[in-house]
Amino acid sequence: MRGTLVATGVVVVIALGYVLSCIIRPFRDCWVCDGKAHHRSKRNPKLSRPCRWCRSTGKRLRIGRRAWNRVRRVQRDA
Amino acid sequence: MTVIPFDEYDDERHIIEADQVGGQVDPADRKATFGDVVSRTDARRPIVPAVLRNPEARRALARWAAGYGGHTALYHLTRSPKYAAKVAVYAPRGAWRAGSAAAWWAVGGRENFHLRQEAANKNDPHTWQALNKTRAKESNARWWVIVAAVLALVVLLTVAQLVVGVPAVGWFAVAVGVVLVAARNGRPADKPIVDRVVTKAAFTKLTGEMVRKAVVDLGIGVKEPGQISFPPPGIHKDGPGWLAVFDLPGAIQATKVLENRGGLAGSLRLPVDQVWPDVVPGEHPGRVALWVGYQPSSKMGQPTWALASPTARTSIFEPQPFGTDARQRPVTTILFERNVLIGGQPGSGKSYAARTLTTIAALDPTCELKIAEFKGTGDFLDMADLCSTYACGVDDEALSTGRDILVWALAECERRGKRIKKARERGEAPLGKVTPELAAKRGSGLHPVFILLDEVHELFLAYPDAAAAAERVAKRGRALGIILVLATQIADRDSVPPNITRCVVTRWCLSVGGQVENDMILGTGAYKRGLTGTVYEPGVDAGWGVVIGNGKPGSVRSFFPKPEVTAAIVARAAQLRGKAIIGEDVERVEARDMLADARAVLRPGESGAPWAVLAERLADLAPEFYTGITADMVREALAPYGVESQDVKVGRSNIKGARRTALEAAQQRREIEAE
Ligand SMILES: [Zn+2]
Repeated sequence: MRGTLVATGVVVVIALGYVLSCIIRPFRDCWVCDGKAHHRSKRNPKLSRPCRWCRSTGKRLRIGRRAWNRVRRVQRDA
Repeated sequence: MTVIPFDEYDDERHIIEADQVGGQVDPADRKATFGDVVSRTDARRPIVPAVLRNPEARRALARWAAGYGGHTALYHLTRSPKYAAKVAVYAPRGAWRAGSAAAWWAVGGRENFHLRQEAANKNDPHTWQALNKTRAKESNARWWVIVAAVLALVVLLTVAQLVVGVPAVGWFAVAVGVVLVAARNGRPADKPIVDRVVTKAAFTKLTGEMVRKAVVDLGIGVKEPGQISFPPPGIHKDGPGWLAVFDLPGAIQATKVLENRGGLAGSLRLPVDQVWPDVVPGEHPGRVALWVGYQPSSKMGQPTWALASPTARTSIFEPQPFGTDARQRPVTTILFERNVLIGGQPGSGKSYAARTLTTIAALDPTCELKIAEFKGTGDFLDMADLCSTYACGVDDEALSTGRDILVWALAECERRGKRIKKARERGEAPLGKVTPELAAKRGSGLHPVFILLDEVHELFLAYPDAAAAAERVAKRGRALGIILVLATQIADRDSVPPNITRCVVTRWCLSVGGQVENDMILGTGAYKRGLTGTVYEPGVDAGWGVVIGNGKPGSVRSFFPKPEVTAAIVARAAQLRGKAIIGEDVERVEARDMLADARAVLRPGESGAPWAVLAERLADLAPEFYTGITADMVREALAPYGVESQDVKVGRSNIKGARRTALEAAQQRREIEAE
């Protein structure tokens, strides 16, 4: 019983923290290019190509924020 | 100076040098010399404001402030629980607002936050990052400020507690202050914590905007509010009200505003007796002095009367206060050479108005008093001991005493005329009238005489010839130091003949019923010029009236002292007079019947006599009664008996006069009526 309570509390805190981070820090570093926006060639370090995953911004919206934006867009368009 | 823009096509502007017609109109501007500067006599504005220089105004201001303050305090005290409840709700909200505002400021502002959210919504990391960069830079410094402020506060509180040693009360006060500030911050914009003290504090201040709008609304030619200018010192407090002195544009005169006082009051949304436009003496005619009271004048109190002072002493040759104007300033009059007619309906305060004038006379120890009141309620009974003649009532005795006073006054005029003539020969009366020196001189027989006839219409109805006598006294007595004051409630053609009204210059019209009565007292056209006693309600506005013939026409409210003050004034008058009565009581003259006398002076065989002849013969018949009577007076005195003015043959011509048949018919009518 107590364990469940603690577990629920932890989950709630984590969820709140995630929601908060979606608001005040909606972007995180791109995990593909590691926030560098470019893929560096392994053979020639001077050559590089843009990261397509983050459209060479090095940043990606958090999943939660992305979902929230979609929900809002759908709501607004409806 | 108006600069007319030069128009090269305007032929009239061409100057023909050869002829030199007219030449330059404006004088050349000249620089001020040292002499000009040091000899300047520009009006200097007073250091102490006008409202504080006048003791009455000062007292009024203090009274008002005390009353207002007291009421406000009590009002708020009774509502304090309600205020406390409101504070309990608003204070936490205010604290929250203040805290969140500080937090928002510290993290870089709401604006930036919303822009960043917008960027996140659009999945625009570049913008978001740029915004965040600027925010971070500001935010860093701001956090330091917050930290420093909190530290400073903590240090301050610690020092206050440990070093200075603020008592518990002090902390309590600080806490209350903080809570109140928080509540103030937390209240909704349109919901003040404290209730409004004065519901209809519609008028708190007269502003230039109000005045401008009102004058434009009048439609007297002022088109734009900006055309009206306010010379210094602008709108300021003056007595219990505001005074706005302003200039009308162009050639518009101040009288235009004065004529339309009602319109002005309407536009200002104030009762008419709160708005007092005036011209400014000694200034250009376009300047208006608009005084607006804090309250309508009928609702204001009255300052104390200078004559109520225990050391008061007056002179009928000097200005003495008898009432106050709307602005609470004393209104004065010089009784010498003045006859006064006071008119007003019952309850208008007529007797008291007459009393203020009587008081001026009573406090002049050289002045003889003769009072006859035909109301019979003894309004002047307390002054009876000061009077050489006093009558009260509507019985035959009182009425005949009243007539005897007039007869005595006429005879006195005769005697005084001779005395003045002698004094003039000695060089003591250069203008042929009583001087203060002559009046004060013992045994000169020229001391002032003050005659008051209250409810005089009773006398005139009982003795038609008394009206003619009063008229003669009013005319002849002026220069001879005899002052006649008549008070009446009805001033129609029969009760107070128009001739009397005409020769009494000063008239005081208190509350009257309508335009007809008003103009009977003040003269034809007075009502239309806005001089009207109809605005006053009997009882409520007792003592208020319009005075003409005493300086500028205007509203005056007679002083109305409390009974104990009145008693003190009478005691003071008695003290000044040393318990001695000035003058002699009147001789009780046998009543004369003018109709009988007129019949008696007709010689046998005459079919009638012209008015002038009758007047002459009557004066011969009974000089003590008819001296000074004129043809017109005889005609008017006989008119009430129904004796008409008809042609009488004298030699070959016809002259207006009384016919024997008319006199006989009148006598017969009277006998029939008597039966
Ligand atoms: Zn990437």
